[in-house]
Amino acid sequence: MDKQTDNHSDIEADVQALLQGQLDPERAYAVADYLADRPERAAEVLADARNTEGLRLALSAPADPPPAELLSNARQLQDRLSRQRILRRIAPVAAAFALFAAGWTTQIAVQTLETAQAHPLVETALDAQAALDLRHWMVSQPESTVLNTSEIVGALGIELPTLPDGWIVRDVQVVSSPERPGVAIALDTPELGRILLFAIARDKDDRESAPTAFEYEGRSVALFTNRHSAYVLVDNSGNPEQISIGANQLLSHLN
Amino acid sequence: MGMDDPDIVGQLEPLRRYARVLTRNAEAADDLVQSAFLRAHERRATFRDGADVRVWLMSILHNIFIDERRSGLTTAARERAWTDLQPGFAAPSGEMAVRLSELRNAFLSLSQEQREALHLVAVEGLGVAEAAEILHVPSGTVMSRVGRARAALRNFEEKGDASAKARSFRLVGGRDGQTDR
Repeated sequence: MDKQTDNHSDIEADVQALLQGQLDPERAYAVADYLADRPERAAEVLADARNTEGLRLALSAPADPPPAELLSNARQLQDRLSRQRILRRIAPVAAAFALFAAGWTTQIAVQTLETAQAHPLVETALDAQAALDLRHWMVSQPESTVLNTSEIVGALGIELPTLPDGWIVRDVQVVSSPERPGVAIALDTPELGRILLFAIARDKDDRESAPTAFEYEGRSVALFTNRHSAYVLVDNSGNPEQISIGANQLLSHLN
Repeated sequence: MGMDDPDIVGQLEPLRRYARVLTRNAEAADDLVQSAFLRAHERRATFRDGADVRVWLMSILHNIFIDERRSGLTTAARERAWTDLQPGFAAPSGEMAVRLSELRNAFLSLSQEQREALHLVAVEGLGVAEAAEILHVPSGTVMSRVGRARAALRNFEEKGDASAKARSFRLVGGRDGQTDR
């Protein structure tokens, strides 16, 4: 912009709107009048308009159609976002219903923390979740939907709860952690949608910690222990109250 | 798909276009879009109902591009050699084909900051606030980058006219009117 536009920043701000026909008649007149008095500036504006239209023409079409993989990725993301949207609408109702149905007496108090505690197990669980997510996308890495709890307790020393009604196993993988191997299970649940359960054997001298639920890096996380195993439940959406309901359901199946 | 459901498939073309403007290479651009979908999938919880899915995806794509640049995946050598690469846009047709091709080359020669700002605001028609959100810079910065990018293109056109009048077949920047594919 040159000197002559310095004192007319409000008019200049509306020049593009004039070209796009977005101004009311009075304002359009004022802006057009301003340009009519400044032929050089008007020529610049029209040159800009020509270049914009030229670039739209020259950049409009990628030379090749989108690869099938990109199209399929786009569709998958679209499905996921649509499901997430539905889930967010029904989640509060479903969570309230689950609380009511479970009855207060069987509830184990899950402490909801304001701030995230960077528990190393949570990081391990998130790594496992990323790996399972990746597998979900990779054609060459088929999911394993068989949850053999007795084999897992035998091989890894992890006790797994029987799953609440309606919880569907989508993928079970043995995953590494800094301590020892754990197991990561992707689950579809009626109330929470897709969640991840990560479980690992505990050291004998680890003290029992109270179940907690909190937000961590934009996710809801519940952390609980039972006898010889520790568990992390991860939900990519929702809130700590909702994930604590899921944790309670699992805990009640463990005891 | 419900009426309010996000249309991701419909964003494929704008995303590929923006990725090509950023990378100036068709293959790298499609890889970038793929990475953006993967990250969007991982972070889908951050997408809020009613938010503009195009702005959300373009912001993710832009972040990955910047991350990759920082980690050296896009080398300076590759940046310099972009004219040897294939930006991957369909060759313009019609009477204006040569001129549009030159305009596109001039645009792709702009600095990344000017290129992305002008692309989002002028070509994609996004608002300055939306472009600022994607680029993670203040609105004023977007406006000044767009202003400088426009001035640079006007300058290019003026020089082009002058050289045409001088009956020179050698165009500004030494490039001929070649198409990309």
